[in-house]
Order: sequence, then structure tokens, then C-alpha cells
Amino acid sequence: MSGILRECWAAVRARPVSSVTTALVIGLVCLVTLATTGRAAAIEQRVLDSVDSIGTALITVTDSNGSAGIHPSVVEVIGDLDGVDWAFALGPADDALPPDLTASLDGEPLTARSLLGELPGEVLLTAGRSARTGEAVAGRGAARSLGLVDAVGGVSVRGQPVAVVGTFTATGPLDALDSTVLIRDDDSAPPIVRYVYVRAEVGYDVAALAEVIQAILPAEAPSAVTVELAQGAIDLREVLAGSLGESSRQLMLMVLGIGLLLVAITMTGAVNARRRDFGRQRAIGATRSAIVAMVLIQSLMSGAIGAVVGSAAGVAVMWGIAGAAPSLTFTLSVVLLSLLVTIVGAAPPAIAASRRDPVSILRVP
Amino acid sequence: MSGGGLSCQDLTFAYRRARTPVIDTLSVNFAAGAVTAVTGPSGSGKSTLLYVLSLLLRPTAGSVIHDGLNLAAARDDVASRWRAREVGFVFQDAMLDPARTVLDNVCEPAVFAGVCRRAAERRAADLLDRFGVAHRADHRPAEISGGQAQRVGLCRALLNSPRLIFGDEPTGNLDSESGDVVWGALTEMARDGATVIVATHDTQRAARCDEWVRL
Repeated sequence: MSGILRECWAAVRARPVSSVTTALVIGLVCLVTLATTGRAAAIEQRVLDSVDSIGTALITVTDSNGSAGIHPSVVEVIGDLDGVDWAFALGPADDALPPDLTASLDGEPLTARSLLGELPGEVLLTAGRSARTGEAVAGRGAARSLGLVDAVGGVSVRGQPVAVVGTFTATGPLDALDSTVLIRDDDSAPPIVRYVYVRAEVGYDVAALAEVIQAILPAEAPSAVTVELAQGAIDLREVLAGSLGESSRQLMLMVLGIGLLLVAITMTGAVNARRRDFGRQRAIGATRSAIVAMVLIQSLMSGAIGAVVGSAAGVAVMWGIAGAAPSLTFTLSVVLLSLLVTIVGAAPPAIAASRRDPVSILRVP
Repeated sequence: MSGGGLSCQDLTFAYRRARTPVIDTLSVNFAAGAVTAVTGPSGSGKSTLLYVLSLLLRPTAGSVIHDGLNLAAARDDVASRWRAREVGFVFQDAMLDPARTVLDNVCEPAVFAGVCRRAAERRAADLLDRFGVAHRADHRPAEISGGQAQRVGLCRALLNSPRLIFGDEPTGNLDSESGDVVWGALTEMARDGATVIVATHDTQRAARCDEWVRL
């Protein structure tokens, strides 16, 4: 096999016109696919990200009356479920006041809540550090209202002073936490759980996960708990993903179809120009399958060069137009599809080359 | 090189849609270690006989026997591998790949016989040296003369040390000096034990061969 590969690579280099033409066609397929479908995919992703920011993957468990008795182990129990990206819980609301009660709050009244579990990536610590037991972190809005200097200071909750050791910014569906102070309570006095926030992993069925959570929730009165989804946003996401994805797929199929046709035409021309070579090779012992393999491998070698160069150019063009590069998965998919197009386009001329009667080529009139 | 020659029994070949066969119940034993000339007027089936004996064309009837095996009905891939291992072909037109160097052209049969490139290059260098074209190894076919091209074609045919060598008018396009080189090489291969079968119009050459088949 290494002999065939070496021979193919030598043939690719020895015939620059057909090799460059094949590489050019495949390069253009990748470039056009990325510049059109890739851009559409990037726009689709941006639209879906906007919808997702509403919280399509978020499940909120609420004990609105405080009578459900949700056990503090809930974060661990739910966090261990399949399909759960993260989970954390909050306790009931308390007033958060400046330690110096003569100071006035700037804007809305502040809320302090106990925190169970780790804060997710959507809650980004922007200054200071994470809270240890008995400490608190404040949302950016809360820190501003409390007039915290360098993001640290103190707050009075339930008449007790609590050190604030950092500030955070909450984004997406958790942005309401921006005006909240989150306190890490002492483990010996676990807080009452009022809210549990759970995010499903990408692609996981959120509704199914919500049903599982409802079923296994460690609570004294599970019926007093409501499990909510952003059902409207989920439905909207499905509709958008379906229609945007469909138009992207049609565009990609059209580009790949044209590419397939061009590869087939290019390879037919290249194979016809080499009729004598294939006749000679059959006479000196090449099997039909060896001829097919050699034509396909040579096409793939040229196509691979074109795919790499065309994809790089496509990513650059997309960056220039949309200011964002397509995902690595999408780019690799385009490269693989273009190589598949190369094989499918080159297969008929390869088979025709292997089936041609060598004697008609070898005969000298 | 050693082993039995090639023989055909009641060999018949007719092209599709042809009313009369080109080769009709021909039985010949082509001895190992001998050069057999095949002569006949144009259209008598000289080249066709070589193509049938090398299984590039399949006989309509009869057998082609090598090493005691009838290869007439062998599968195409089996016949191809047999050609790669056992057969060397010298064409009237040297049939070189114009895009590749002389050395690459000579090494080409090694790819299909599964011989490693390094060994093939060593053997090719020896052959090119033996036939006086070693200094052209890195040239393209367009850069060498017709006589040199035919000698390169001869080197390619001999690369895998075949036991059967077919020549289809191998000196038809050559001057007498280059023709002598090719005939000399074919005779030498026969002396080494190969079965050499040459289709030719040259009856003087044919008369000097070990065997002569007239069609």
C-alpha cells in the first residue's frame, strides 16, 4: 500500500495542472460553503444564543410558600443526575443592609440569600474572591448600592455583620442575582432551600430532565414544589433551529452538489487525458481495483490540499465578514464533506478508467 | 529465471460481433529459454495473440497454460497479479509516462508487483546502466531519443525479472543499431531462462530466432 501511496503522490506532483484544478475546485467548495453556510450557521448560532440567554436550558425548582422542606442535599442529588450541567440552591430572602445603618441604600432594596453549591460560569466573579463559610459575595448592582470599596466590605443580615469578600456579575437567565448578596452559611446550620437552579447540558431534553427532578426531589412535601421551564423560549428555539437549520442545509447541499459536479467533470477530463497511462498500467499488472484506488487517492491528495487551503481562506473570509470564525466542528465537517464530495465525484471516472479496454489503447495503428 | 514455458491449446479468439476468429484453434508450445518469433501479414493476429497469451484479452476457447495451470479462465485480478509477477511487456511505442522521469517509468511495474521502491531503484539503475541510458535517469521521456525511449521501455519490462517477455513489434520504430540492442537484450533474457515471444514483421530477424510461428 505504501508503494501505491508513494506512486500516487508522485503522480499528483508530476501532473500539476489536473492536481491544482482538483485542489482549486475543492478549495472553492470549502471557501464558498464556509462563507455562505458557515455565515448562516454563525447567524443561527447567534440567534439561538440570544434565545438561550432567556434560559431554555434552565430549570427552576421553587418552594414558594417555604412549606416543602427541600433538603439541603438537593444540590448534590440533582448535580449527580445525567444531563445536568450545574445546580445550585438559594435560601429564603433576608434584607441586606449596610453595616453602618445610618448609611442609605442607593436604589432598590437589597436581598440577601444563603447559597448552597458552587456558582456556575454565568455568575462571574469580577473582583475579590469566592465566599468561604460565614462570608458573602455581592452582585455588581448590590455592591454599588452598598457603596463597597474595591468590591469588599461588610453587610448586615439578620442583625449580624457579614464580610463581603468579592463581587460578581450575573448574566443570562441569572441576571436577577446582580442585585443580591449571596451568603455562604455555616455547614452546621444548613439553610432552608427555597430555590434550586439547574441547567441541562447542551442538547439534553430539558423537559425530561425536569420530570426526573420532580420525581427524585429530596423534599418533605414534594407536591408543594413547582418545577418550571422556560417553555415558550424552548418552543421558540425549536422553531428557529428547525427553520434556520433547514435553510443552512439546503444552501450547503446546493454548494456541495455543484462541487460534486465540478469534481466529476475535472476528474473525467484528467482520466481521459491519461488513457495511455491506465492502459499501460493494466498491461504491466495493475488490477482494476488498483487503478480505481490510485485515481481516488490522487484525487483525495489534491482535494485534501484544496480543502485545507480553502477552509483556511473560508474561515478568514467569514472572520472578515461576520467578525466570528465558525466552530472547529463545523469547519472539520465542511472539510470531511468536501473530501467525501471528492471521492464521490472521482469514483465514476475512476471506475471508467479501470474498465477501459487496455488493448485498444496499446495498439499502434 | 527458470521454470516451464508457456503453451496454448486449441486457442481461439474472436472479437465481439466478428464472424471469423482472429486466432483459430492454435496450439503452440513456447519453450522456456528460447526466443519465439511470431510473424504474419497485417491483420493476421500477431499482436492479438500476444494480448491473449498475456490475458489482456480472454480467449473465446482453448487454454493458456503456464506452470501447468490453465489461466484462460482466471479472474481478472488473478490475471493482473500474474502479469505483474511473471510478465514483461515491450511495446512498439515505448509507452512511457511523459510526466515522470525515466527512473520513475522503469520503476513503475514494482508498484503492482509489491516490490519496495528502494530495491526497484537499485534494479532500475543496473538495467539503465546495462542498456546505456543511466545518464538519462532523471530526464523526462520528451528529452530522450526514440531509441533511448525503447531501451527504457525494455528496462521497465525487465524490472521484475519476468519469466515471460512479450514484445509487440518492439523494434518497429527503431533504427537498426537500436533494434540490435533490443533483440540482443531479448536473446540474453532467453538465455537466462525466460520465455520470450516477439511479434514482428522482420522475417530476417525471425529466421534467427530459436522458434518461428507463422500466422
